[in-house]
Amino acid sequence: MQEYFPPKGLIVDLITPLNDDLSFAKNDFLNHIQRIRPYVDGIMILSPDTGEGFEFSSEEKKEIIGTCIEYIKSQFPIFICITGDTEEETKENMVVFDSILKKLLYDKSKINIFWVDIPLYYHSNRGLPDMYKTLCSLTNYPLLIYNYPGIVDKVKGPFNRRNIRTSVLKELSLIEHIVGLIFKGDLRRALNYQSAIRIRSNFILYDSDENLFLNFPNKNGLVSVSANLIPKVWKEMLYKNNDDSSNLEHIWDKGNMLVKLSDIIKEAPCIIIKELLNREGLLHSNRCRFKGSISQQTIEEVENIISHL
Amino acid sequence: MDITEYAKEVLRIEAESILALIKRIGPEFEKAVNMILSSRGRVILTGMGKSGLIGRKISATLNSTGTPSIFLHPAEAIHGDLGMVTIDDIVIAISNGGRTVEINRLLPILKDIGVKIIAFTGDISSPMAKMSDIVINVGVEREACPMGLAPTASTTAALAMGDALAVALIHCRRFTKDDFKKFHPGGSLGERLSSRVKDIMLTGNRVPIVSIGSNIKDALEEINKKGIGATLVVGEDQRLIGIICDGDIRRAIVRYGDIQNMKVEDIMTPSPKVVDEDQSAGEALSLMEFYGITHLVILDEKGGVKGIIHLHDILGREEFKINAGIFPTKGFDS
Repeated sequence: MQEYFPPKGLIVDLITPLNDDLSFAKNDFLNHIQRIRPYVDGIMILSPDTGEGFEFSSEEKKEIIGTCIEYIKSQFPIFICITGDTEEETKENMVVFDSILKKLLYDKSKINIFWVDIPLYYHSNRGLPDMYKTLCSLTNYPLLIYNYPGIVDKVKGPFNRRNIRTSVLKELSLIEHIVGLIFKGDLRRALNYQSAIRIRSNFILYDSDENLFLNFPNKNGLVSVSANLIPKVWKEMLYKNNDDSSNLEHIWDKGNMLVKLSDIIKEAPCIIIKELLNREGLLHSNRCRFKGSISQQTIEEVENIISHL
Repeated sequence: MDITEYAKEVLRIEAESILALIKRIGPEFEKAVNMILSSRGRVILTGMGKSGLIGRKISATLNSTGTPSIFLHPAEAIHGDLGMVTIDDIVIAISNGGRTVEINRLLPILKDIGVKIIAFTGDISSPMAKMSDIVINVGVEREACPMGLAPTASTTAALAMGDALAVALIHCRRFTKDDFKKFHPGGSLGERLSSRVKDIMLTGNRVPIVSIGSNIKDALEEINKKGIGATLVVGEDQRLIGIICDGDIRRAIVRYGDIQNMKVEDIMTPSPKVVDEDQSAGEALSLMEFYGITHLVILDEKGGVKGIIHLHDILGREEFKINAGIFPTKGFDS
């Protein structure tokens, strides 16, 4: 396999804009990418929470991926969530998505595609390395594992473990196609994982918990949800100049506001973000496939924080 | 999270950052050690802000373990301090991001001088890394300070790597407990270096002095009597006009053969280097290193001799003996 290095820095866990009839809103999607692109180092599409990945049919996913690839071509890293309800469905997603890429990507030397999978959503820790050896042989693209206990919690099934076992992660990090981990969880586990993956020098660990990132900044990067709203602010946080002491108070204040913002948004990321972007006129619709609503007070609270950022 | 838990997490992050360095010790580290071992100069540490503080500590550790070292402030360097850098020196530049403006402005100048550069950085593709001969990756996965306001784990990692380098050099040089004592007379070399010149200089009858017009034999007797390898030469008005040290005598014999009947002014080095009595011993040591001499003179306000200080007075007269294997012999003879 060609050696792939996932991008360091800010990755946005992208929302998937919809029309009022809940169909994919292609233009809004492209406008949204265009708006955030100058500030970020990559995008992640079809994630389960923010990107509503589990809510789309295979055909819809193909359309979303195709739209994204056609627009971005090979010039910007794209993380594509492939997780299905079962191991077979995940494999199928991977193969189907791969066929779209083959059709659309004209410059294979600049391929910037990374599969993202949440293995514990459909599989136990036991046998995970073997499963991935098979999965990774299906395509030639690198893969990032997503440790996402919150989403695993939602699954009814025989799986007791919400997190990838550290010893299993160590084995997974030895598989050449697996190039990194997106991590949601507490600091203790993050440190254990860091220690486990140290065997591979180019294996990257991203935080996807914004508060963990703000409190104990990860030097590899962040997969951010609220960067859908405020990509420029997040870019400033990641690439701040600590040599300028006059800037430190400003960073401290911003950081604390981002902590508050993340705490609110993580309750219903997709719904809140779409509502706010819709109010700003950046999306034509605030519709989500997820059922649920948020209070006016919550929206005003978020708007108030953003106005101070 | 309560305060103690928070503190524990910080320590865990910092401990992990050091553990992560273990697998990065490899050929580049070995090259750095060998480069320092084969160098005839000093190891010059440089860095801005907290990296600078780490540099100062690494420099102190190197000095106390037998590797001559100084700290060079990058901003001061380009305002004159570069004069203390010689082609034989090796520079260790510390910057986690490798994009510190002052450092990156300094490195090309150092390269022009011909100095070899070792980078301690967390970004091996940074401009600083690209300008360096050897790059030691001291990058960390996570900082412990909220919002990354202050470098924490990254400075700890750089410090630990500096210790690893110093200790590796100790082993390569077979530095012993006795050698360590030589560099820690009276318990602390640092304490001695921070004392004032006036506290350790030789004064009164202990200062070797001959008058102008004296012959060389008188000078040799004075040098033997006072036992610091040199004598000062003063004029009729008792103002300092020169110095004769062992090196001057050696060179004169080579040049003239029999010098017994020559006068001191024929072979002396005029205008000896002076130091203010209120300067620190460390500053006096730097002057000696810079000029490659072992004596400095302290004058009174009228230009008369008030005292003299020898390298041994700084490093410990009783304990210090030059060990050619540890300390460079070059540059210590005026």
